[in-house]
Amino acid sequence: MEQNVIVQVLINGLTTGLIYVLMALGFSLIFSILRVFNFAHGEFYMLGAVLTYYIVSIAGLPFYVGVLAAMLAMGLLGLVVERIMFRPLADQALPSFIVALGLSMGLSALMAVIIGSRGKYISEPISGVIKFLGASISWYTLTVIIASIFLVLGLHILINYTKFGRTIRAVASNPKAALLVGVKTKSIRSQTFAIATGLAAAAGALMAPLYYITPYIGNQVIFKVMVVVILGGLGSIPGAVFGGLILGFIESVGLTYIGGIANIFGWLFIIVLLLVRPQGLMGKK
Amino acid sequence: MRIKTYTIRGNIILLIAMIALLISWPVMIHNDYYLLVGIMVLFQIILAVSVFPLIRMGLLFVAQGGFLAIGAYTTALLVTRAGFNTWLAMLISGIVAAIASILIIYPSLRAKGLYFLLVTLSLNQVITIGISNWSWAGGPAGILYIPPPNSIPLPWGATIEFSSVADFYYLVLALASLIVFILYRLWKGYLGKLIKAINTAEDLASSLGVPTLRYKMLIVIICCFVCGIMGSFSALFYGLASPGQFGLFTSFYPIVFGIVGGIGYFAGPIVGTIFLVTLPEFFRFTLEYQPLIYATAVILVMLLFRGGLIGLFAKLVELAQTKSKGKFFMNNLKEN
Repeated sequence: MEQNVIVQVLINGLTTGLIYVLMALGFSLIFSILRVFNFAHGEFYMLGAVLTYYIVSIAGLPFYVGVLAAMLAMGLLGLVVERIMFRPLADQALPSFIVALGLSMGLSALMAVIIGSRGKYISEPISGVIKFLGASISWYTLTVIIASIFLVLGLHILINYTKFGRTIRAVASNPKAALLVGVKTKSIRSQTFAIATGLAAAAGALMAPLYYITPYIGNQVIFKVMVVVILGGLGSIPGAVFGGLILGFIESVGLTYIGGIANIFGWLFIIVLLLVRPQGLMGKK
Repeated sequence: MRIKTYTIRGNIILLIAMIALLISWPVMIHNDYYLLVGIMVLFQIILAVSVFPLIRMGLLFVAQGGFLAIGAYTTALLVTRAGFNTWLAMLISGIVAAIASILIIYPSLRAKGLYFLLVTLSLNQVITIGISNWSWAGGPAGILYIPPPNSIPLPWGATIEFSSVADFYYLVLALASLIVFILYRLWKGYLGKLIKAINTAEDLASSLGVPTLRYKMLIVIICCFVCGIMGSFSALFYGLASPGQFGLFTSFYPIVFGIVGGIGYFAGPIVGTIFLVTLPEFFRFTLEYQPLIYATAVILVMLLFRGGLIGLFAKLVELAQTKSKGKFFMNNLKEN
């Protein structure tokens, strides 16, 4: 095996892995704060990509403005969605799962009506490649990697080293006690939801130039996110990072050396994993 | 519960009217399309009712598509490759699906809550991806040209042939009546009480000596047996079995139907299925908006009516009842 191929595979794995990390972090946050199994998270990713497409190619603004605007817009949408759909069903796992499922179907159906199912494309904002250990990496891929690392680090700092993050962790570990000591759990919930949708939008927007944007990309991503979350354990943030990167690398290697049937091994692995450790690889009992 | 005594006569009249309507449907409507809708509704009712006890216990079982696929492929292979009688193949399909579920269900039930959903979801994926990569069974295209069911000779010399859509409608109607009736008896009997007990206080039930795990397994096996039979029906009806028919959403729909209808009552999944399967038909004129309307309906029902559609109905009945007795309105959905 040649070195440049290996490096290429690893870089590809890192890129997709980081995107999965961004998605899984949001998914995990929503799960640990709102107790919602947010099936619509993939659709927020899709909407992020679609919004970026509109901002860049219809409004003609620069790509990075598009990414930021998509993040903000989706964050606001997240606030609204949480307020209208998930707050009335607070702590009811089953109905909120069905609402999330309905939201997922609804958003992709809506986008199928608006953008059509054939797919849109935006070109990479910067062109050119750099050589790295014999492999050629496009500047844009590097941008995606750096931006995602920044976002993950930003979230890490936000959650672990700020007052706001402390309240989030308080609500995650014990909502009632948090409420008793004066944490506004309701607003924490909606803010967390907004952050998570913003992250999903960022992931979608960053990936937009690398793939076709169709109304159905959300569905593809959500299943990957589930795998990541199982690997890492529901509600665990280091787990999400670990699981996302692992899945990214496994997929990259699998697709290069095995082909399409590699998918089945991922799912089999999950079954075996959950049989051995029913609480996920890094989850707590 | 009070509601039962209040509406029992209404229920029987309703039931008779339903059965009359269902039997006369093909005669009244000379339109194959509406018959197809009828077949779809009955087919989904069977799936929704069979998975309903699992939802009641908080087990989101989303591998129904996989077990439908097992049933469909068993029938398809037995009929086309080994020349089996279709009815025997149907029975064997149910048994094969049940055996397959026995192999996987004990370990899967170790996973709790959402992890159970994830295990069954992965299982569904493994089965469908596995089938689509199984070249002997046709790969992604599946198995084509499955003959329709064998004709049934009747004692007085006539035979029941399966050639038109109406014939299949009556077949699925018979299957639905039989399966729903049996599941209803089970639900009203000991098993139903156990399910409610496991739902409310599993630890308490097991501390009183109820082998909860064994009953959960039994219920999953019943559900998978039904899936196998229905998979077989779908293979015989469409004349083909392909992995694309049994994706994840096949497994999600019965659960959505059940919860939208309301899992507080046995009739909930039936009401939910009828509502959600027929709803898009009223919007035939705007084909591309159909999924959107569907999704909106799901969300609205969940947000507006706690306890689903049937919960709304029960609330109205209780409201009428308590008003007449001059009592204060009370929420009767404690059963959830």
